[in-house]
Amino acid sequence: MTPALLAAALLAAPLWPSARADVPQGQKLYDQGDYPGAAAWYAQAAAADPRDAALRYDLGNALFKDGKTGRAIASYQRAFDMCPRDADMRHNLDYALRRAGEELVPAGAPPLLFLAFHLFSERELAGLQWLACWLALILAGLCLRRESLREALLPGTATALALWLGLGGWWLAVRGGISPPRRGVIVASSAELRSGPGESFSVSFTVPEGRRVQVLSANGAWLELGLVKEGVKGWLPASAVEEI
Amino acid sequence: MRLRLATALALALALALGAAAPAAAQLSVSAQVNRTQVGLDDQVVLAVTVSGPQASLPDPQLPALSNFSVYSSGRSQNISFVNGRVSSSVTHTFVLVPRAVGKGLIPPIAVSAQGASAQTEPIEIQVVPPAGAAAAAPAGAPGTAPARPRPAPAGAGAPDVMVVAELDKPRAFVNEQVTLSVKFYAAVPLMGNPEYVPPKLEGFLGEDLPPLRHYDAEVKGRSYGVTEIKTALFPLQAGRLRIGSAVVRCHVQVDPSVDPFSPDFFERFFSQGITAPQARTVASQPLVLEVLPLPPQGRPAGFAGAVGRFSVSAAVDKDRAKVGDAVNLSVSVQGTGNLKAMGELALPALPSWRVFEPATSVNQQKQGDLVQGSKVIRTVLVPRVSGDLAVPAIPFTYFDPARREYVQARSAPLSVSVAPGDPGPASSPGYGAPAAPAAPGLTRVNEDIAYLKSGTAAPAATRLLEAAAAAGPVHALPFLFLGWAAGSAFYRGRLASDPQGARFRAALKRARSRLHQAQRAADHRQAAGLMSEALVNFLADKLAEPAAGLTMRRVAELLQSRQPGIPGPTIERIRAVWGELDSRRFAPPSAGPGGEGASVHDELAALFRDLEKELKR
Repeated sequence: MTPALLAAALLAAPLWPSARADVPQGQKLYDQGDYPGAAAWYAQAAAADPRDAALRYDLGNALFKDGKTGRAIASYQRAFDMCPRDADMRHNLDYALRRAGEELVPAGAPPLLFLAFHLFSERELAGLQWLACWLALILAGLCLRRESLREALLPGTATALALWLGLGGWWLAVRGGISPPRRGVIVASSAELRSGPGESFSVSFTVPEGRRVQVLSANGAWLELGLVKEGVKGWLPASAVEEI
Repeated sequence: MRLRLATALALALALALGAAAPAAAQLSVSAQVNRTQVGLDDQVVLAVTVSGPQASLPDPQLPALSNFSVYSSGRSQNISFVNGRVSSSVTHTFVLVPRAVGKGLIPPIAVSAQGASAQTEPIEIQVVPPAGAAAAAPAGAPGTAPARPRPAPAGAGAPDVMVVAELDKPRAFVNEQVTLSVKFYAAVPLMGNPEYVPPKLEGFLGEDLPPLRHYDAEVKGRSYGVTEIKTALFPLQAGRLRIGSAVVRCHVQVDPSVDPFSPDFFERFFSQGITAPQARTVASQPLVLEVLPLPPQGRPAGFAGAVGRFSVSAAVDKDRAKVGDAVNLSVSVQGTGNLKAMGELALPALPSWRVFEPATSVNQQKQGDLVQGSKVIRTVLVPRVSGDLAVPAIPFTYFDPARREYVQARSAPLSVSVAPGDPGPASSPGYGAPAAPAAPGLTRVNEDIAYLKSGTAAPAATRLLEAAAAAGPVHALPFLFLGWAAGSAFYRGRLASDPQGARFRAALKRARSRLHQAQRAADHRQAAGLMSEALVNFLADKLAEPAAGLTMRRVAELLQSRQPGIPGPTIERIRAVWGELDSRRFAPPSAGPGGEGASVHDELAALFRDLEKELKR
């Protein structure tokens, strides 16, 4: 019984949110219209607590108001990845993306399906997988010890758990939680993607600020970027891209 | 993996189908002339326009024009920013002065940038003799000079041809216009149009000031035909800037000294005629311009480098609108000065408006030897709220070199009456269920991002799941539990399949338990009973016999038959303890537990330990 109590204690600890100090300082700067100051403050706070989605979201707001659409989208995207069910984070990301010619819900995708697919963050999905795994192991242990339980729980519970583990594993894999692709956002005002990693290569196409891209590879200070929707790729200095 | 493969294939296919096409498709160049037939004493204006998506378009490279002298007449540029894309067009103007009568060809003019290239169609221009010049120059004699410079009697010390360069002022401020005049004097007829090499300019931005001027002048008593070329110079830095020599190469008509008594008189007469051409190269003296820095005192914060004399005006295309409507704002800066060096015009803060990225166009002209024109900034304003919204006066600061001070020009303030807009689709952050697109009683006024979430902690479910994902070593606990349960089940299974063996292995544990109970017994008789029970049960478990009715004699027989290796003293120790316990069990109650009881307990514990080692199954 001791392991179960220990596990419960460890899991229950994060249910009490940690107090965040000095948050009103960034809010004060934001309310005064000092968006660069607020962005600097929130960037420092977010670096100190990288798992805090609200700080990422606030940083996105300050950057957006400061006119840095690309960096704002990168920050909103991080917040959305952590809290996909938050309506404000979804709205602000969508609003900023529309400035860059994109939308949060891809064209042609049913919005409800998109919302369902992004119901959980990748870490939440991983947590659900672990909890299901724990439940399966504990039930298996109990069934080994109590024959009456074995008859009562099997096969219904075992089938449900196996299904969830399979479905959740697939969901997590597709969402990129197992082998996440490198993603980035264009932060230069008008980025010229070249056919190779250097200024000597010709410009293939231009990409507006705020456009989300996939980072395919790197060569020195240059990144090879892919735009899945358009099916094109090109090279850009790493300073013009913020990786998510 | 399949998705990744499909994505990669799609990328590669699209790349192969022409990803590089857009840049090449949008660069273009065109050329136009104001006339295709021109007199030898006239000039042609050639306009070359380069347009494309880049903000800095390449300059066209004019090919060698053997029949024309070429003078740049400036450039004008239009740049537009629409939806983050930059489109630009630059028109370069050249003045072409024909050198000889006949067909002149402007070959294709090419531009190239970032791997894309384009070129113009060739243009043919017919150069005809100047009107009224037929008598002065024999028809069809190529290279004959125009009639402008004419022979004149030589004055003392006055050369046949010379070049003089002059500035309209000895000193100027940075970015103030200075006019350079290069005058070519010819007192003798020229054989063809001369070749002009402009002076070398370092630290200046130059703009040609067409057209060429032709007039007569008298220097040192000698009459000259003068051709004057003017250039507007804008010094880019303070200090003493040098202007190099202007050079003119020409052929002049001279009278050969023919000796009528020379033996080859007739040969020379018929081969070169009465006159003969002679090549001349003349250059002007270099000049120095003293350039003054702009005074730091009184320089306003918004000054962006404009020097000259300017005015600013602003206009909107409508004075009534609804919230969400687009209102076009045009701000025009016009005046005399270098508009290209003028910094961007900053609009004042317009909190009641959503301001889109502006598009800028420059229209530069040259009139009266002054570079002037206008720079127009156009942007779209969208009112965020209803009411009488103001566009305040837009300031523009420049330095007036004539007044030697900074001047701030301001446009007149504007006002637009804005009515509430039509209800549009939900644009505010969702609260619970999605908002109805046109909910009754709701009017969408503005679209903006949602406010901060400072201090908002993640939901408890999120924190719980994230903690489960990051539990680390705690993940081992369910596995350990399963391992323990499996081991326990295996042990219990073994017990069930071999009950005698289970009794044998559990004998010592049960016996020690009873010994422990005996230590806490109320009196020595009860203690002895418990110890006796422990001994009998231990031996019964080890010998696989029922405990009930087991006697010491039976025990000794079984030990000797089943455990032949057990030493005889051990059996005697058992017998002694057995007897001692029996006597204690039936002793009178007055004898309480004491030192003897404790010694029996210890002896019994030692006996159990020894028997556990010696008894084999």
